Amino acid sequence: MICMASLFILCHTIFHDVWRNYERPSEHQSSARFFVRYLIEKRTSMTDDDVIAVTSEEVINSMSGFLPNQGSGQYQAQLVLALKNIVFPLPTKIQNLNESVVIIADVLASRGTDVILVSNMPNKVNKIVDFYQKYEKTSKKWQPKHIDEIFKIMNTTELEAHLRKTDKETCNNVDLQFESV
Amino acid sequence: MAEKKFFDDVRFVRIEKLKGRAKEEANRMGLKEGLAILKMSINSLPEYEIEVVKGDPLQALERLGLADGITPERLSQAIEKGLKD
Repeated sequence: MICMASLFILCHTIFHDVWRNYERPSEHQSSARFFVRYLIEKRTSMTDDDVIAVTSEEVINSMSGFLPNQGSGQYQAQLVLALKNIVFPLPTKIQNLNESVVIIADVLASRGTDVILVSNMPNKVNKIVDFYQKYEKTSKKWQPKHIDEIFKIMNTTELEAHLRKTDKETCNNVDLQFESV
Repeated sequence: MAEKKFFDDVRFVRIEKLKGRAKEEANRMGLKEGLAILKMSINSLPEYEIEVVKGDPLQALERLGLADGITPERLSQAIEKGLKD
């Protein structure tokens, strides 16, 4: 797989915010929906082998496993098939949705990939610090600054502002497509 | 009621970037450019269906879900359930 300059790793909260009940809106819902539109636009300008965004297989399974009409086990809902072509699912051995994406971020960042973990979870950085402190066997005392040295963390509101500055052309195309009814 | 069709791959594409038989299908439909959803099912030879996407691609994604009885609310509930399991 060929990765773009920055690889987005999507936490489950992004999908949750995209499709959350409108009676319980999130401050990030609009930007989460923009971000998925951005990924669709970007993905269609790339080749099949290019990957711009990944998530854990567990996150995708958490959606697809509960969906109706999955039938014989061979059948996959059209939405799930399309989603997997936008956000590539990577297997981890971790069932916990929160931890599985941190594992992916750690592995890919350790290999030298420029990684942005996209999460709309409040206090995500502190939760990641807790995770590292729980499992890290060395005496290193983990602090948010240590996480920042490994990979970036942004919520979709911050990310939309960032993308509108750094990738104006794609963002303009997203806006044009959105308005092209 | 129409029989449910099974697809092996569903993806957003740019019509102008299609090649081969998918491009032929686009030509047959009179499509030259723009955003579309390409659905592929493999029987003996792959069969291609193209749906033009006008307007919000996210709503087009949601319509794919509705074809299988998946509402946005259901997706949100599924993710919440995944968190609790």
